[in-house]
Amino acid sequence: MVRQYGFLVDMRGCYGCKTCSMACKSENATPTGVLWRRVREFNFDDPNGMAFISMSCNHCDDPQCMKVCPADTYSKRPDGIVVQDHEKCIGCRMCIMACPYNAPVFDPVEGKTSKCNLCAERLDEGLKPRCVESCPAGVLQFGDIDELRKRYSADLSRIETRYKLPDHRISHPNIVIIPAGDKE
Amino acid sequence: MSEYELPLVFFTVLCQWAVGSIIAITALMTVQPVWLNEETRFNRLRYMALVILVINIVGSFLSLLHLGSPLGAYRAILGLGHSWLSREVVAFFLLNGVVFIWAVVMFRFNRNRSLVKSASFVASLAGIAAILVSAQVYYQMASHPMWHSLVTHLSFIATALLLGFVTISLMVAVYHYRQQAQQSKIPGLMLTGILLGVLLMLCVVLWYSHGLNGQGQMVGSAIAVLGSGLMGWLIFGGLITGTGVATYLYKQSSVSMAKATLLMLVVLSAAVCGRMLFYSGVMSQSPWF
Ligand code: SF4
Ligand code: SF4
Repeated sequence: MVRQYGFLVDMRGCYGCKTCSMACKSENATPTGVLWRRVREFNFDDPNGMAFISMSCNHCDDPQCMKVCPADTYSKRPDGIVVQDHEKCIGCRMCIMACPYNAPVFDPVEGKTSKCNLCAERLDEGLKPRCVESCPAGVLQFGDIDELRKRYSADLSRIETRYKLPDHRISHPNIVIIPAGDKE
Repeated sequence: MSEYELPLVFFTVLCQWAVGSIIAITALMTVQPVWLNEETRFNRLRYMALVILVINIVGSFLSLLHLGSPLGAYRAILGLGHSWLSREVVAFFLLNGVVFIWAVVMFRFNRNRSLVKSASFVASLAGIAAILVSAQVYYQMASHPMWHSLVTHLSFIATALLLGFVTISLMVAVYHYRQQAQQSKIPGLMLTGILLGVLLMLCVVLWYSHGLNGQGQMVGSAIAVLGSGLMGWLIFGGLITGTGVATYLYKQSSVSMAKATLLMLVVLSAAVCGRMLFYSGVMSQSPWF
């Protein structure tokens, strides 16, 4: 029984092709300008280099989106996936302000917000999330977060300092990140 | 312009202005009961109560403009168990009810002085409670250090006190001017209220400056706030003009309607600038990841 699903991002193999982002977009048919998974680019001078992190909603243990939403649109499934009842959304954008990872996206045309649901319908059918399935470099993995953390014990605090990521203690995201060019 | 969240700026500033004015009227009636007992003076307060009611209602409605789907606004109370925004919606709904009853009492039952005073006290307390609930909406966002601080509560209360006490002090001064009652004094408590508002606002500005010594997002917020031209107007229109109004009214207890309107506009626009900074200090950094 899965306690909590999560993602693993192995930055060492990511070369920024954004296939995951586009696959997510076509799978979920999100409107123009709405991307549930985005690939962030990092540039370094010393030594000269580039790195990428693919990120969507991290289905946090303490979802800040769920805490602030006045329309009670968010809920956490027994497998830990944070889902949104899109019908109920009133477009107040509180979830966007509260999420440390900028995961929910506002569509000004519809006047509502939406976000990654970890392809819950696909998982229910025994399939993998579309982003995971589409990544040509095998950068994205998913599964029970306890299992993923057992396999790789990358320390989030150190990664947060290096890539100026939000403090994981705010929402306790379910993500394992293996940093690129880890010299330590 | 979206980083300024203008509907929220006007919602919060107008409602805080209304609440601050009710507090200042309550203070005025307490220290100078002549405002309750004398017909011409009380008439000023009656009409002021109607204006305050309108400001509070208009301010509350402006908050709807922030919603992407305003027709679903009724669903904003579904998260009452966990969301401070839901609680804010309920708080301002109740506040409008309380301010409506207060305005009716002021207008229709003005002979019953103790009822007027009690209603004013209740409306003041309800107003302060609603402002603190508003502040909690931003305090709840632990990912933004500029909002996740008691300074948010301080800044909202400072705005209410500054705007409210400036408004009612100027109203008293205009009354003196019209009645040619130059020898009457503006109650010291009213001027103290203005200076308290200025002092609290100064604390907020100093805290933003202190943010430059911080790290991460707080430094970004401090730079965005202190580097904006709006900060100049907040200091001039809020801190300097506010202090100037209190000092002027201490020496000179009457002022013409034209001068009072101008001074009020300067202080009000400064409060609007301050609130724009409050939102842009965080929102200008979006997307924050
Ligand atoms: S990443 Fe953001 S949107 Fe996803 S569960 Fe966490 S707080 Fe909510
Ligand atoms: S934008 Fe929608 S989902 Fe987000 S907090 Fe507001 S009502 Fe909830």
